[in-house]
Amino acid sequence: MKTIKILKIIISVYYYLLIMAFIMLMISFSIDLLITDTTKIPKILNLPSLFTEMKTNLKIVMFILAILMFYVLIKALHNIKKCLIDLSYGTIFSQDVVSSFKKSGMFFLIAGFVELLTQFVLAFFDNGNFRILDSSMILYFVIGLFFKFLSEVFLKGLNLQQENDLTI
Amino acid sequence: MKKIKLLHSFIILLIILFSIHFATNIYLIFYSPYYGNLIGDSYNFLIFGFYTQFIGFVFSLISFIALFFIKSGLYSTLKNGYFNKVSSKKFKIAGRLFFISGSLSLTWDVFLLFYTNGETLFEGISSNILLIFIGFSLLIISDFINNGNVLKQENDLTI
Repeated sequence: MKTIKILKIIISVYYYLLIMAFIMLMISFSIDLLITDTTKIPKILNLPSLFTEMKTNLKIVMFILAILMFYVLIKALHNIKKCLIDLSYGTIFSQDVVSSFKKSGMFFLIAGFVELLTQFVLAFFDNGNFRILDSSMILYFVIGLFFKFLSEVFLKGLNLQQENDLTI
Repeated sequence: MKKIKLLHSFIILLIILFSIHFATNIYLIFYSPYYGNLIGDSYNFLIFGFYTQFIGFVFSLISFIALFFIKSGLYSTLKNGYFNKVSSKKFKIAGRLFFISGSLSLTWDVFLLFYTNGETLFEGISSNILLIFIGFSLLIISDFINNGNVLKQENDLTI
């Protein structure tokens, strides 16, 4: 149970950091579009030079992809948080845990595809390099597939528990 | 089982990709005269001098070893079913390795951030936290696989 508590803390920290980063991105993007003189922008709200040097159309596409990525990751973490609460109360094999794992897996897989799309957009429209091993894309795919696998393990556990309870 | 097979194949693909990545890096470090070979006193500006370039390599190597344990655990699941002691043990080792790799990378990134007076961004923080997260998840999962194993044994004995 100690490990679950630590994982709950890590997930919560990551969840709130993501929300903060999302808010910062929204503010930074709005400022970038409204203020042309970058010296007037506070340093903390400066977007990376890779982003500021892009054409406006590409900037908007990247911004949409970033919003999608944040949304998907926040949803995935929200589902994990939900099932960790169940697990910490001792409800191990339940339908809620199975469905939460399934949803989280799906959201992480979508995050992987969004990252892949972002890499493609950067490589083709901004003369960037197509990075596979350096990006988080692979991690998202691994986590996504892993959660899908977990949902199957927990479903199997749920069936076993139901059989066991019926036999008793 | 279809998803496990898919994950197993994906992990094998990752192992192959990582092997190519390592082989290329080793070749570039030792045989290419232009890659990573800085001139004269340039190494004095780096934290660990010439060896700074190997830091990331060591962290990746730990994750690479963990991938082998995951692969082995998944193979055992495919062979012996969802709940077995072998896969639980392998996942536990993989979890520990991922946790070590993620924590070391995170510490290194934070250290670099302070060393460069904030010039390096927290680029890798997301991946590092995800690695730590995978590590912890694997540790928890190995416990639940053990729980499932006990349930299965009880069930089999009742039958």
